[in-house]
Amino acid sequence: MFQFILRRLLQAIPIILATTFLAYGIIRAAPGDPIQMLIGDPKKIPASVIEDLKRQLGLDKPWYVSYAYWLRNLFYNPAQPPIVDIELDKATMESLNQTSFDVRIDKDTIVLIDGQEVAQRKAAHAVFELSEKTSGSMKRKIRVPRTKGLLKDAFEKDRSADWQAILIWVKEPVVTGVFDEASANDNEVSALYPRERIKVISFDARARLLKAQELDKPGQPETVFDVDNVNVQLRLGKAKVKPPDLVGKEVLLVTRSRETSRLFALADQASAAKMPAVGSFTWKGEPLKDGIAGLYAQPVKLKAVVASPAKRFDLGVSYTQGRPVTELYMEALQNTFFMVFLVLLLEFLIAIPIGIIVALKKNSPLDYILTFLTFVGISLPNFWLALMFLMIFSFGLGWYPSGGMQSMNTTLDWRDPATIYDRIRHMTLPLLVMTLGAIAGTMRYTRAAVLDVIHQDYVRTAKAKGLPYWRVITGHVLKNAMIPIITLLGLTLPFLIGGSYIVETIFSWPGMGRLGLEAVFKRDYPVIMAGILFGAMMIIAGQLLADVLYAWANPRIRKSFEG
Amino acid sequence: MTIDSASLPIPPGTPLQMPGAPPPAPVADPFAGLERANTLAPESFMQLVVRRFRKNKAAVVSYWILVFLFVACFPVYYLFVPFDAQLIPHGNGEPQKPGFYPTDTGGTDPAFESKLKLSLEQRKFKIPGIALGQQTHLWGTDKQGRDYLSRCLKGGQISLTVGFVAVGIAVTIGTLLGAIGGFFGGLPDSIISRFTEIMLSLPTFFLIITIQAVLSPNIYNVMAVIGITSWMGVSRLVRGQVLSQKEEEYIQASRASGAGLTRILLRHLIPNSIGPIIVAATLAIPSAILTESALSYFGMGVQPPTPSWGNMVADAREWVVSRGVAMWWLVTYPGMLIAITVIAFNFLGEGLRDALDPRS
Repeated sequence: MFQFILRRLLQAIPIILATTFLAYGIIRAAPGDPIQMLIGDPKKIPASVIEDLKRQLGLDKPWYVSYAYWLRNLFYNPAQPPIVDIELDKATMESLNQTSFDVRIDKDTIVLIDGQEVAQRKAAHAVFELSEKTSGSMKRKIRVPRTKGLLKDAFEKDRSADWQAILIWVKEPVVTGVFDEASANDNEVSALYPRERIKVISFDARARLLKAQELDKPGQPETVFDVDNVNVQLRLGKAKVKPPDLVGKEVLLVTRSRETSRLFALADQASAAKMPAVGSFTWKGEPLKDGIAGLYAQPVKLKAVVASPAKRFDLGVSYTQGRPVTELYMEALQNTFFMVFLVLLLEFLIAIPIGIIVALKKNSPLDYILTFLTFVGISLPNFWLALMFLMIFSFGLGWYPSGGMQSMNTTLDWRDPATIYDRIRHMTLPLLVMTLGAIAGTMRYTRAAVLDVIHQDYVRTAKAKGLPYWRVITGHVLKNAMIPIITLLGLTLPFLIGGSYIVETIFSWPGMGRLGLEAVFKRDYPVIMAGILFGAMMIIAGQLLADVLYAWANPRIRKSFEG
Repeated sequence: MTIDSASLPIPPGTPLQMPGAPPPAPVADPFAGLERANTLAPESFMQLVVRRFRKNKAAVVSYWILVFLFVACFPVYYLFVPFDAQLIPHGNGEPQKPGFYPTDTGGTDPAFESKLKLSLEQRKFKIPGIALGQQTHLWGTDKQGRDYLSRCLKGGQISLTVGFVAVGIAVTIGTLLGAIGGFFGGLPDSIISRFTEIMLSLPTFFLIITIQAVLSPNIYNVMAVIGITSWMGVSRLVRGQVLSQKEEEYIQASRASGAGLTRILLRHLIPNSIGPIIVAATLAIPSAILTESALSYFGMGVQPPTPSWGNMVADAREWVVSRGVAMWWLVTYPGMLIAITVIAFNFLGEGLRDALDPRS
C-alpha cells in the first residue's frame, strides 16, 4: 500500500510540473499585461518607470526563465535583503499639522535611497533629480549646495535635529496591514497604487484612499481613518550601516509619491491632507507631469529590522496585495474549508439516505420525482441560483445578508452566540446553493451504486437464506454499495473547492475561489500560478485519496496490497 | 428424373399426422402481433434505437422541448419576432414590466427608427397586428428598452451555438487523439495519455477564465477555449472503444484485404464507437452551455451588446441588488432558459445512452 502511494506520488510530480509549465506558458504567452493592470494607462507613465516595475516583478525575462525562477523559489528561495519595519509615531504626526517643514542633513545622518546607503552628496543629487522630474516650483525651491554636500536650502530650518537617518524611498515600499473586518468584507475590489508598488491588503483601501484624496478639496472636513494596524515594510539593500543600528531611531522617510505618503499617514490615523512635503513644497492637488508625484516626507520610528531568511515553498508575493501568496492562500483556505466541510457533511447526510431509498424503491413515483429533481439540481446554473436566492431571501425578504462572512465590526468568537448566529446567517445562502448542486450528483451516484449491488448473487443468496429485509440491506447491499460512494469523497473534494469560484464571488466569501478569480481579473501571476498549482495538487491528491479509500473499503483490493 | 411434388402422397411440408388422430390445431403465427412480421428486412440498428428511445418519456419530451427551443431561437427569431435584440431604443432607464404598452414610445429617435426598420425588413414574415412601434413586451424589457423575449431568443442562439460548436471542437479533438492513441498504442499512446492526464489535472474553469482573461473575450474565443479544455473525456472514451474494437475480426479482415490505416480508423473504428461518442457529446453540450453562461456572467464570455443568457443574468444583477424582487423577470427568464435547456439535454443524453447501449 505504501509503495503504491509512493509510486502514485512520484508519478504526480512530472504531471504537476508539466501542468504548471503549461499554465505559465499560457498566461505569459497570451497577450495581457499585469503592468497595465497595475498602473492603468501606460502612456501616462514614463517608460523608465515601467521598465523598473517589470524588473521588480521579474517580467523582463522570457517566460521560461521566469518559470524556472518560480520553480526554484518553490523549493528554495535564497535569502533576501532585510526588511525594515516602521512604526509611525502619532505624537510626531500630530505636531506636524502644518503645510511644510524642513529638514537638515548633517554629517551623522544616514541616508538610504531605496534601501541602499549612499554618500550624502549622491543623496542630494538623487533628491534633486527626483525633484526635477516633478514640477517647476519644486525645482526652484530645492537647490543643491554642492560644496557641503547637504540639502541645505531645501532642509533649511533645523526643526528636526533628531533625525538620525533619512530613508528616501523611490521604489518598492511594501505596505502590509490588517484592516478591520468590515473592509475585508467589502465587495469593492481595488487595483492599488502601482507607481511605487504599494500594496495594501484591504479590498477597500482604495475607497479609503479616494476619501483621502477628496480631502484635497477645500472645505472638506478632516477625517480620521479607523485603520487598526498597519505595518510598513521597506526592503533594505546593501547598506553599510547594520540594520539593527537603525532600530528605535527617529527617521525621516522621504517618498516620491503622494499615495505612498498617504498610506503612511493612513497608518498613523492622521489626516492625509496634512501630509507635509519636503522643503517648502506643497501639494496643490493636481497630478504632476509624467504622473510622478512630488517628494513627501514622513517622520517615522523604526520598529524593527526583519531579516528575511531563505525560504522553502515560496510562492512569491502577490502583485496587487503585496503579501506573500502562501499567506493569502492559507487565509482563504481556512474560509473555504469552513464552507466546504459543511457542504460535504450536509451533502452526504442528505444525499446518501435519499439515494438509497430511491434505489430501493426503483421505478416508483418517488423515484421518478426525486430523479427528476436531481436532474434539475445538476442543471441549475449556480450563479443564477445564487442570484435568485439573493433576490428573494436577501433583497426581497431581507432574511439574510447579501454577502461576506460576518457583519460589520463583528468577528467570530466561539464563546459569543451572537457572533456565531451572525456567521450562520451569512453562511446560509452560499451553503444552500453549493449543497443543492452537490446533493444531486451524490444522490444519483448512490442510487447507481446501490442498484449495481442489489442484483448481485450474494444479495439473492442472503434473501434466500431468510435474512430479514433490513439485514440484507444494511449488511449486504449497503456495505458493498458504500465502496464506490466512499471513493466519491476523494473525487468531490477538489471540485468543491475549485467549483466554489462562482458562489464565493457572488456572496463575497473570502475564500480560495474568490482569491483565484480576482487574481485572474487583475493578472496577478503569482496568485494565479499558486491557484493552478494548488488546484492540480488537489485533483491529484483527490484521485489518490479516492483510490486509497477504495482499497481501504474494499477487502478484495486491500488483500491484494497486503500480498 | 424429377419428382413432381404434387404427385407425392403427402406433399412436403404437411405436418405428420397419425391416422385416426384429430386434425392439428392451426399453429399460431409467432410474429402475428408484430407489425414487423411481414417485412423482409430485419430491424435495423437505427430503428431499434428509435424504438427504444421512444419508450423513454422524459427523453422524448426533452427532445421536443429542444426542438421547440431551436425553432424559437433560430427561424422564429429571424422570421417573425418584431423587435431587435441588439438595437437600443433609448438610453438608460427603467426596465419595463411584462405587459402591453401603448405605442407612444416610438418615434423619438429617427436614426434608431430607420435602423430598426432596416433590421426588421430582414424578417420576412410579420405577425399580423404587431406593427413597428407597437409595444407588446410579453417578457418585459431591459433597462435600455429592448424587448426581453427577443433578447432571450437571440441569447439562446448564441448559447446554443456556443454549446454545439464547443462540443464539436472537443469531440473532434478527443476522437482523433483517442483513436490515434488507442489504435497505435506504444509511444503515441503514452504521450497522448500523459497529455490527457495533464489536462485533466488542470483546474478547468480556472484555466478557462485565465485564458479568457488574457485573450480578448468574444464568442469565437469562448467556443475555442471551452472546446480545447473539454476533450479529455471523449478522448478516453474513444481510446477505450478503439482498444476493444481493434482486435475484432472485422478489423483483421479489413486489414487482410489491404485497407490502409486511415481507412480502418475512419471507416471502421470511429463509426463503430460513434454511439458512446454521441452520448458523450449530448451530455457535454449542457456543461458547455453552463460554462459559457458562467463565463459570460463574469464578463469573460460573450460581450454586450450581443446577448447571451449568461451576460443577461449578469446585467440583471444590478437590478437585483438595487430593487430586489421588483425586477424579477430580468434574472428569472434567462436563467430559467439555461436550466430548461440543460435539463433537456441531460435527459436527452440519458435517453440516447439507454437507447444506444445494447446491454439495456
